[in-house]
Amino acid sequence: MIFSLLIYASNNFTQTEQTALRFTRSALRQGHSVHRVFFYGESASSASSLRVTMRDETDVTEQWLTLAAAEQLDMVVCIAAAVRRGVIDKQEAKRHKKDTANLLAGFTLSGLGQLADAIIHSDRLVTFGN
Amino acid sequence: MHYNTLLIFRNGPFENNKNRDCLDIALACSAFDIPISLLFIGDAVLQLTRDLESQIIAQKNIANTLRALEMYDIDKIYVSAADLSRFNLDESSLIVSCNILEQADIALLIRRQDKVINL
Repeated sequence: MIFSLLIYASNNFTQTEQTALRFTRSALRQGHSVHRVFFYGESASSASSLRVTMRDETDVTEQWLTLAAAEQLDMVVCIAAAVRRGVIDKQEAKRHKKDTANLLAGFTLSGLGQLADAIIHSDRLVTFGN
Repeated sequence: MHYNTLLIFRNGPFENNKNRDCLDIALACSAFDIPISLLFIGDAVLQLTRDLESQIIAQKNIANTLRALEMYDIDKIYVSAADLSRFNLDESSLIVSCNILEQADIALLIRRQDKVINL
C-alpha cells in the first residue's frame, strides 16, 4: 500500500513526530511504500538547522534525515508554514531579504500542492496532529 | 480514482491557526480537482457565524474565503446539528449554505470518504 503522512504537531510540545517516524519505519518494514512526508503547521520548525537538541534527548529530526536518506523519502515542508516560523532556504532568504538560510539539507520547501499530490497518489493519507 | 477528501474543522475561530490551515488545504486540493467536502463540528460551527469582528483583536478573518468557496467548486459544506443547537444557532445564522447533519449522518459522511484530514 502507498502511504503519505501529514505531520502537523511540533516536536517541542508533543511526541507526535516521533510516533510518525515509528509509523513510517513500521510501514516500510512491512513492505509498504511512503510517497511523501509532508510537514505542515508547527512541525515546519523541525526543518531548521539552528535547532539544538539537549544531550539527553532524542534528535527526532536527525532520525528522519537518516531514514529519508536510506529509504529515499520525499520530505516536504509547507513553504508558508516554514517562512512564518523562520525556516527558509536560499531562495526564500533572497526573496525576503534575509542574510542567511537555515533549511536542513534533506528537506524541501514547497506548497500545499505537494499535499494535494500526495492525496491523489497515495492509498492512505495519515495525519499526525495534536 | 479514489480521493474524495473530507476536511474536518473542529476548533473555535481565533483559537489557533488550525481552521485557516485546514481551509488552505481545501483551496490547494481544489486546484488539483480533488473532490472536497468540509465538515464543521464542535466549536468550529462558530467559525461559520455572521459578524465575527476579527479586527478588534487584530486577527485575520477567514469568513471572506469561506464565502468564496463556491468559486473554487467547494460546495459540500456540512455542519453538526447537535453542535449548532448547543450554541442556539440555526441555518439563518451561517454565512454559507450548509447541509446540517445529525450524528449518525456525520458517521456516514466520514465513512464515504477516501481521505479524511482532521487537524
